[in-house]
Amino acid sequence: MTLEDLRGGRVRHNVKNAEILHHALKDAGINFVAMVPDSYFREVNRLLQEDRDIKSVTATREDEGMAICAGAYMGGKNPCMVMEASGYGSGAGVLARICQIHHTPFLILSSHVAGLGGTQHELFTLGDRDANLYATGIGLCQPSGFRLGDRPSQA
Amino acid sequence: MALGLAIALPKRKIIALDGDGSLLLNLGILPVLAQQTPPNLLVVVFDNGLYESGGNTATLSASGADLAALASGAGIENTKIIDSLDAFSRLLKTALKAPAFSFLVVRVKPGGLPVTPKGMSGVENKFRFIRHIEATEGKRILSIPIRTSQKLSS
Repeated sequence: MTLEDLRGGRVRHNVKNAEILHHALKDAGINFVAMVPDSYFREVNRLLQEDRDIKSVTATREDEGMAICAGAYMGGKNPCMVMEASGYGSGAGVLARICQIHHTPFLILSSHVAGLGGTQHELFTLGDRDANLYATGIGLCQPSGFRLGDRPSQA
Repeated sequence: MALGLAIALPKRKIIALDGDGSLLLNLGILPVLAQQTPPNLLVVVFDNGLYESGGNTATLSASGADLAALASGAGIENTKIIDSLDAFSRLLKTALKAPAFSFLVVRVKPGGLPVTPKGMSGVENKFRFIRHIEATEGKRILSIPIRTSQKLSS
């Protein structure tokens, strides 16, 4: 098994799945995205960056992207932060302050992989633990998980 | 947040007032600003070399970190260093009028006024801010329907 397989390469490069997510975001009225590069969302990010109806900003960190989303929301945009699950860890401070305390809403779309004990690289299981800890532990938002093809309209 | 605001409100001049300690916490924003260069955004960084509100601990700009050089190195072209009140007045006026992204580093002496509580919660502050944007821009922000909630409840 190659590292590519461990990272779920088939999913990562599935353009159809990326199009499902892209269309779901547009259908939800998203017109602004901040993103931090993520292997699973590579095709999603590409589609978002090529979409002339959606302004995209590539951030260096997830907390920075979240703050940019918050500013865009206050200016009238309907923003979304696109990131990998480990971003909940680096974005925890902004999530707690801007979202939980100041009640500033924006959507977060994060890739999610198997947890401890699975076949994933340790980096990804760390991301899974971050997502669970921060998205549910401090009760800051409405976490919702889905598999592509099941309920993509929820995005 | 100012970058998001500037992109969302391209017809308004957005001014971000920052400090050296705050900028050093997230230098990653510099290349993002360099890439986006919103022409309606002005960033003013007051550099006093201290975390003054945090017990007067020296920041790394006090020991040589050059914030303007960091900004230039990140790709921000219109970066200015200001060392005097006259220069501040002149360059600020220019930056406010110019339809271009500007990044000003203002070197100031330590010694500010004590920070007093604002008398309102952050939530109230946020609502007042957004209501002002709504009133002056003629757009609705707080009442935008959340389609996700509608779909989840149906």
